[in-house]
Amino acid sequence: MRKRIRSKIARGSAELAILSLLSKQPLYGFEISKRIEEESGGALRFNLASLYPMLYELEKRGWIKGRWESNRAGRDRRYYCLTPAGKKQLAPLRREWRSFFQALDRLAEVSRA
Amino acid sequence: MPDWRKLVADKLTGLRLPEAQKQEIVEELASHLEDTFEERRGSGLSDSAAMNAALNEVLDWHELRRRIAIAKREERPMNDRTRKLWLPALASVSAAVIFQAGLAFLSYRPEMLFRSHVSQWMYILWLIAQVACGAIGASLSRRAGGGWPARVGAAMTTSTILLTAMIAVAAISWVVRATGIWRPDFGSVDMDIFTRAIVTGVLIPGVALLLGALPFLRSPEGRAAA
Repeated sequence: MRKRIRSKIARGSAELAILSLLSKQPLYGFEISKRIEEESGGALRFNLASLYPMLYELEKRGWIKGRWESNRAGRDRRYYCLTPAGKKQLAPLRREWRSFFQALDRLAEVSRA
Repeated sequence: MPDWRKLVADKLTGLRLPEAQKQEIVEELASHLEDTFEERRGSGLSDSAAMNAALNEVLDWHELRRRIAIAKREERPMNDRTRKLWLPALASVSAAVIFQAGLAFLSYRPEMLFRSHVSQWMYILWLIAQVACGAIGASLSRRAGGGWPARVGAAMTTSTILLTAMIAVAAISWVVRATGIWRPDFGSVDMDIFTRAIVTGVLIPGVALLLGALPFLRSPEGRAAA
């Protein structure tokens, strides 16, 4: 049970992290994992094994879309961008997580610890 | 530097996807490993240490293959629809049927409508039950992540079924009479009775179902993500 809750939280946070990043600009997989690591100060890290199944899942839901493009070095990369459906999902997802952290904070006084 | 493409292709052998799709995945994952390798080497690691770092991106290739297969399988739209619309609709209709059966057990008969004081109370009770049935459909749909069209659809299924059935019966009756296949003894379907049946059996209960669904049409903002 505990494992299931933990995996749900990890999954939900991963979705939010990816959608938030892609709302700013299209990125390819390696860039996404780097940016998540950098922007979370190293607290969040996605390796290949955790990132791509999530990207494919989000793509199947129609929230993101991948397309092959050449980067500056002339190498082909699959860039992911947010779709209109993904944009629509992002706002309620952010609200849900905000209220989740607020609830957790009220309960465990996390921010004052 | 290893041939990342070949390495990934070997590791993903047995991934049951169309060849073009599989090649695309191999290409993408190989690029990621190559980028990781280059980045680690650029940060001062030796070739073998950088290669180990890249290979450590995936500890269990069998699990990755399984997760990719699940993520790429084209089944979600149907599953989603089932979860967000059909199952909540079924629950709502089932609740309506169970309540109707309960009323029938308590001597409720459709022909009593508008004829006695008791039948009116039974009808009002049935309408109140429709509010609950609408709420069941819409709340289950919202819980499954359904948007407002799915929530309304799930809540209104009972009325939709009744309307379809009434129109079908009226249409069949009209065709049977018009073609002269069969001339039943009980006379033609009175337009007034038909209209009344639509109003009391479909429209008013439809409003009740919608009323029940209303509180669940908003997004669940106050609920936690986990």
